[in-house]
Amino acid sequence: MAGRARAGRLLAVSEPKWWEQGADPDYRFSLANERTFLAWIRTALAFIAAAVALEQLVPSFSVHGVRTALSILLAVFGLVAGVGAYRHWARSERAMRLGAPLPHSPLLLVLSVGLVVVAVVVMVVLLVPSP
Amino acid sequence: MSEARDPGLQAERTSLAWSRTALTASVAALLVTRDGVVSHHTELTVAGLLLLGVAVVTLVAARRRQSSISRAVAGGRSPASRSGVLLLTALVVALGAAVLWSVLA
Repeated sequence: MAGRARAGRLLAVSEPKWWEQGADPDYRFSLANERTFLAWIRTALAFIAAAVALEQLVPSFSVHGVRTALSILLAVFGLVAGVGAYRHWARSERAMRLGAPLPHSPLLLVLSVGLVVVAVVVMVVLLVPSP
Repeated sequence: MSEARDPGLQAERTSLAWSRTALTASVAALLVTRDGVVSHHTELTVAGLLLLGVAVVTLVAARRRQSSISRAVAGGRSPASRSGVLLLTALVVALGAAVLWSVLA
């Protein structure tokens, strides 16, 4: 136990306070929370893969620089979704331990708006004729 | 060894979700590796291969998750795995950072 705590400190991932607070939730809820986290992680990975694919496989758009800008935007969405996935998992697990209401995730709104922006930009760029 | 009772196939479904995610992460890591090879960025190639290694480790852990959940539940402990969640988050952040670096370089 002491060795484990030391290893945790070395990795700077020592158990947060809430990990031992409250009571263990119904294991089905913990596992559902874990699967939701994994679904968000897959979403983040899809964003990251899209960023690479756009940069490597798509010929340059007629408007200069748009492809790189979209690629950066998609990679940033991937990072936001990845960090947000962990945050949402931890907050949900904590809420379940304490019997508090489940947290609302801003990820849904942020990524939906982001995707709409990407789609609109792509549509506009595709409609602009190449010189 | 008899399989533990798993109503609703909770352990199996969670283990499969880990597998799907680890496979997706492998594809992303392969894309980063390809990016490194195509653009002649040795650092990016090495980073991609390292991340591919982590993704493969995650896949192995995914296969073991079913029995670790069953054991925790049978022992009356919470099956929540903070280390696994942290490892995967770190992998995704590293992949995203590698892609950003590649696009900006």
